[in-house]
Amino acid sequence: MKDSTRKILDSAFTAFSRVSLFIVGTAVIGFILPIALKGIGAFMFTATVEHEKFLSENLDYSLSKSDKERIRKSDAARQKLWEMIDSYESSKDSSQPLEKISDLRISTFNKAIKDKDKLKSILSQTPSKRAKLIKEYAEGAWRAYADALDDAERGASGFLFQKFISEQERKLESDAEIFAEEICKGAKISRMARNSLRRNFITYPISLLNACRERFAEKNSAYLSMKGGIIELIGPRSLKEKEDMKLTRQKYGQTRLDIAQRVLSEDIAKISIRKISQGGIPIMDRVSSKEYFGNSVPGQILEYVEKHFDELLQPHFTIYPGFFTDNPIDANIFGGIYPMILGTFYLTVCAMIVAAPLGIAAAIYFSEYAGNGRIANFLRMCVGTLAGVPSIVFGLFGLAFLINTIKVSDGKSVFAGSLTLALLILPTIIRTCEESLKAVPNSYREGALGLGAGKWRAICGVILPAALPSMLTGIIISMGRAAGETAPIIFTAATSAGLAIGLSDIFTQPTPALPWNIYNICSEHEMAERVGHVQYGMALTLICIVLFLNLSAIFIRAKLQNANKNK
Amino acid sequence: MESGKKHSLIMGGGQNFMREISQRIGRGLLLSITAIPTLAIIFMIFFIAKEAAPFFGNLSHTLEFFTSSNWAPSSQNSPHFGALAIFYGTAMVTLGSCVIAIPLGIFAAVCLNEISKKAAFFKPMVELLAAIPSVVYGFFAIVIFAPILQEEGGILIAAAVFLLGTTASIVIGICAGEIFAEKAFKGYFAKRSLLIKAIMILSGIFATFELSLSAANLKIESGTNAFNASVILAIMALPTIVSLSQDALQAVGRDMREGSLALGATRAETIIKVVLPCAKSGIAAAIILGLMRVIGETMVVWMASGNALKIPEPFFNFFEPVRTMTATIAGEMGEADQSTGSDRYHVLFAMSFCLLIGALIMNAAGQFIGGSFRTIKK
Repeated sequence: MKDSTRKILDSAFTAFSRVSLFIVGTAVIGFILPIALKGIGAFMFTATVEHEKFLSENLDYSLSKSDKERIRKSDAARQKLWEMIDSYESSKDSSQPLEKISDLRISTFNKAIKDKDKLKSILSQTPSKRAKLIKEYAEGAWRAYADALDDAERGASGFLFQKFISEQERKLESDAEIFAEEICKGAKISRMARNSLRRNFITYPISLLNACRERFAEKNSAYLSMKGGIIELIGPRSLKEKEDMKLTRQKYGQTRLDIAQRVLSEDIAKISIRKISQGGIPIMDRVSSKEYFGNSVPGQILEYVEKHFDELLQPHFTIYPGFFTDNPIDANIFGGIYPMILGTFYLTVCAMIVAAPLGIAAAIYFSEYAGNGRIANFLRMCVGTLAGVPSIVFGLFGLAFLINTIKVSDGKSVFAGSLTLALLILPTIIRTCEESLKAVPNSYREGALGLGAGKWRAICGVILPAALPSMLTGIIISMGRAAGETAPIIFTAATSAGLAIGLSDIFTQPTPALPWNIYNICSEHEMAERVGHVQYGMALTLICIVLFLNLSAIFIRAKLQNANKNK
Repeated sequence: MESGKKHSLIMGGGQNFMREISQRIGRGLLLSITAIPTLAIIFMIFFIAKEAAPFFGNLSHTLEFFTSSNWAPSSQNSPHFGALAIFYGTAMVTLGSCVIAIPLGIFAAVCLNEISKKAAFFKPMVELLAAIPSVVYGFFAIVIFAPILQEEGGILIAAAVFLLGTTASIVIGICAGEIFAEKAFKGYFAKRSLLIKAIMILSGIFATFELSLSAANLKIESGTNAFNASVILAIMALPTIVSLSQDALQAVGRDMREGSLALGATRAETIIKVVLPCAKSGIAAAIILGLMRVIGETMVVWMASGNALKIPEPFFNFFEPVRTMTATIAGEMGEADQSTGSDRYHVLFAMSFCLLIGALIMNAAGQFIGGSFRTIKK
């Protein structure tokens, strides 16, 4: 090969490995940066007035003067909106007074009762003929009623009309009962014939009303869909409505501007309407509200909401430190993540309390007593093997042994989880501590022993203190690992919902914990779009805890190295 | 000794005896603590085998377990325990992450140890990568990476294929062109191989271009799939591979490198032909340990792999959701542990028994290979 080619290959190789190192080295930034940027939004965000309302009513925050002013302003803007909605829902803008239709109904029945003889003769026919004749008669009788209904529908737009129609249907049924009774009074008419009369006489108007209601149902469901969106945006109207709601998420509007904007563009500006598909099956269809409503009153309501969006919600930038200290409310949609942080703290600290002394003791044995004998090597191999066991197997072991066999607690508990975690991090602690002990120069040991100290005394008085800072590094790093592990606590300690538990409950109660709840809120939350910020916030919190531990370990190590260099 | 004013420097027999006893007791205590990991391993194997035994006791179930991919362990009438698709899913994501992690990891380790002057910056960054909890990786995979993959996946992959393919075809074109020119044409052409090289490089680039065009048209139906899990797992395995490989590279003596360089080899030649062969057992151990992290990882695959219970079609399609052993255990044990003793409970323990045995074997292999490397180091 020519020299120039070899040179090209050499630089290609160099470039390739540089790129690899760059990718590997900066991957951590690629992971953390997006989470950090969005995670900050969990506690620093543009809040709407609903945020303050929620805090003051549920978590005993006090309202500042400016908050009260904002609530007042938004209430004023909302008042106008509710007035518009009210006037639309109770409007009677029909060209035909509805009483007239009712009157026509009664008069039609009365007229038919006067035709008693004709109807009786129809009823004496054979069943199949009978039904047909009744229907024919009814069609003539109900003509005026049908026309009036048609006229009324053309001008109607309000909700009253739909109510009126249902009422008419009900009344038709009961009137028909009386009517049939009236016709058959005193004559010998079979029950079947009477039923046939009752049913068939009102078939025509009922079908008219049904069709009418169907048309209105579409119109009204479109309106209700938009109204639902508005209520989701700004919350229910009155205190009473608020108290009737079961879930906290229904009691308040959107607390965050970003989600509020999404609700505006997806649930208000777009609505779902019922349509009959080609196959005759009713389906829901998404359409633009603006096109659907046009210039009608709902269209004006939409315009008002879009125009006065800021006045309705009064967005302002806020910092919510309570994210870290408040309990979550309604499946993490409101409130903070305090129980998860506390649970992680309990699990980590308990695991460390168990694992650190054991790990240090084992490391002392390995480095000071064991040497390189067969038993020591076997024990060392076991430590390595334990380090390689998949974390989920630790979880199963915790379940099968700690909980089901020796019953450290009745079910999941912080204690069982901590023991499992302790076992998981034990190999790491043993290894790092052994290495730090081995790094203590032999002259220390010889000096101590030479001064007459026993082995035990040499270890406690000289070697351990010398190795302690570097041991601390290893212990802190494994603490970070314990804080972030999920699989071992799934079956032993973690619960997806629940409040912070007290210190006395750690032997009996499961706890929410950051890692498990991150999984849970990402994969199993029923309203993932409402808790996006909490997902990021939790992930960022966990990263911060772990990185803080690791960075402090790196810092301690760097100090140590400097100190060693200066010696 | 501050406490023994009256004691003479030479200790008496009684004192010696007491000291001996306490030393023995202390040593015994330490030994028993040190045996905890050993006991834990033994108990772990025992208890998981005990819970798995009822399942493996049923031969037809066991046979189905390894040969069928019909998995319905909770069915009341006709439960099925075919875990083949689940084993296949584990193998698939492991293989996928290996393909990404091994070259990247080894190159990075080489650069960290031999080439880069910024190792002081990159080394802690790689360690931080190891510190990020697995659930955060899973979070990243499902919340950030999956939507990107679903919407822009084709273009991203096309860009990666094009970049990699172009550089590879340039390098390979130069090498192969030169060798071809030397072997096939003697004399004039051998010295002017530029044309041959150009043809090779251009054809390589053309092929990659075609390939990336077809990749750009790829429609990825679900962002949570084997590819997503493989990429994230690869990144999780990288810190292990990089730092252990770097240890192995460090152990190679300076004399080896200097000898090779003195003989006129370039740095790349030295690394490929001298340093890497010397460090190969250490690197193999690093790869095995990195692999173990991939196989044993739960949260990432649970969140990122899509958890579909079937072998993808065609079998090498990485853009289909798969399901792995760890994800199955984690996902189903929550529903099964209420009814301790059910078939489902036992089959999950059987699965984790397989997982545990696999991990133990790999661990032994890693320790064996790595151990031989460590003795060389000493």
